[in-house]
Amino acid sequence: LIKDGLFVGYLTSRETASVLGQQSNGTMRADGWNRIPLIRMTNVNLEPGDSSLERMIAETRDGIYMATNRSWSIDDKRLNFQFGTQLAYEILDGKRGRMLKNATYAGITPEFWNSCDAVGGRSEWRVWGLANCGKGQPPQVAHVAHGAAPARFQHVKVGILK
Amino acid sequence: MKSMEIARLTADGELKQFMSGLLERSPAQQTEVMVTEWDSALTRFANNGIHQNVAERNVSVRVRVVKDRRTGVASINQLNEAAATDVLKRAVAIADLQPRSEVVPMPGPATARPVEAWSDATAAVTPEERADFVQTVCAKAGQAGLKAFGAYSTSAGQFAIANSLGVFHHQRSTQATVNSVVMGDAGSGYADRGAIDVRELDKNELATEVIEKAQRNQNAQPVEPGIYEVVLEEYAVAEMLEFMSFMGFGALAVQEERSFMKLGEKITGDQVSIWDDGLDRTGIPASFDFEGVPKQRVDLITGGVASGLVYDMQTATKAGRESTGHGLPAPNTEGPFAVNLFMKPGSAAKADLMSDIKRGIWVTRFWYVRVVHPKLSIITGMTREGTFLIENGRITRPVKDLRFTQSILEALKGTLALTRSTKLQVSEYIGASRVPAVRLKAFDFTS
Repeated sequence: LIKDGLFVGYLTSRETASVLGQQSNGTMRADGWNRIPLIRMTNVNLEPGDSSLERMIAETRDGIYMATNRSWSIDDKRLNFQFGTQLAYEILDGKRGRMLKNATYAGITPEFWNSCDAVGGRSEWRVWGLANCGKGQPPQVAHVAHGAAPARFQHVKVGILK
Repeated sequence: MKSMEIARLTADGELKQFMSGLLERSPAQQTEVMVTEWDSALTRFANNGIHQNVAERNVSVRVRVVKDRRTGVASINQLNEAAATDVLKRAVAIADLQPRSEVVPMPGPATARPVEAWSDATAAVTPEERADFVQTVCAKAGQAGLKAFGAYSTSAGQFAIANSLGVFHHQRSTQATVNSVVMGDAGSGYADRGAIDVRELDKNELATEVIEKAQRNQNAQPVEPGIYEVVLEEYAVAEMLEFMSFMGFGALAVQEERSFMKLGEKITGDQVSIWDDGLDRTGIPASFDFEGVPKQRVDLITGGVASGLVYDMQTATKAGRESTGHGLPAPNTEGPFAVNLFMKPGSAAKADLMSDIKRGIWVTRFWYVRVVHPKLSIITGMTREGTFLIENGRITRPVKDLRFTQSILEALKGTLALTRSTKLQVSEYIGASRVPAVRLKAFDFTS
């Protein structure tokens, strides 16, 4: 989908691949016998890098370690997003500090991913699952999973309360 | 040739016989059986043409058994003796594997007031009639140089619940909903409608609204994020109410200390009154809940003061009071849910809501709303398909969609006006709200 920062391919079905003059890469899913299959991002993964969570924290003078997401909101073009976390920590002068309550982060998708300057290695890479990803009308629920290691992003807008 | 598509639902007598037979056969101390049956169809359109028709007829039989303080639940989608035997056997086997624990009590028999939730016209809608509606929207969009997208669905169903303490309730209902996005080269509009009786859905009125909105919403330019006075159309108001219900109107949220509701305290502006009434025929009524308890009206916010909560059997037992008839299928972790919401209208005409706004934002609807902080009633989301700048009492231009992050209670504290007309908004998930459009003093657009 994305290689070395460049967008190179779509998730496709037989229907959409034919429009692109390609062969389907088989991403259609339905949540039961009575629903029409839809393209779902069930196996989209971030390649591991060569950093580590410990190293990323050690290299950060002033930041936040966002540990676990709990809410997601994104616009209809999948550009403007704001996520809330269950668990986050302050990072000051290369050290993990106090725990933060209700930390949030927001951005514009390509700007956010363009600001990624470190990704953890294979030993920290694991698959994160979500059992209730919704899409479609009538609504369909899918299990989705994304493999990722911790990653660092620069100049991200955090916090919403004044 | 006009095809026939009349809702096919199991006869009342047959349904009751199936449920009674299942209860009699159960070896458990307490048994509950819930049957949901539906016959529905959906016509989807895109690029000014129909591209998909789906229809579904199905039934769900859900059985809950309680044995020695152990609960088991199983379900099946057939209504026959073999299915009843199988689903009971599985529910009992599951119960036998559970540890003993607190059991959600089943209610005893009580009279539920019948509601009018059925329309023969909706139950008999044909694919041709759905296509005729869609054709009008698409043709008008095409004439305006725009493209219409959306879905039109009709359904007929029945829901029955019985338990071994003598409860038996049964209700038939119909629903027709249509939504449409109309797009031009540089912007889009949105409109939807929902009703029990399909004849209340006016294809010309819907087409006019969505096309006019799309035409006005071309070439939107950005506006600085910040705090603005706003007019929220009914689509946005209903979504705000749904999130209030999700976060805080249920007794479990209060018992677990995660609700914004502080009973007896002033939490919004004086003009705000919100209640839940499953028996009001101007909503999408239901006479009993998913535990078999008759619905009661509950005043949630009255004149700005938090005045009540909705209860199910579990939370009512804990609070030492009666359920208000707002239970979801038990046992569950969600708690009771207010799904028949009403907001008290005001006296303004919709167009007059902005008449003395110096600089503000007109919001058609919200998109992808999520909870940020339930105790503070803070939500975030985007505006979509019709966000406009108001200057000196009138709309001057469309603006790019904005993200908001806003406490609902804080926003409602600044309620300046509400329309005298209300709109029935059928939820994408469960239930419906009847709400006015509102003018609010301050709304925080964060990006």
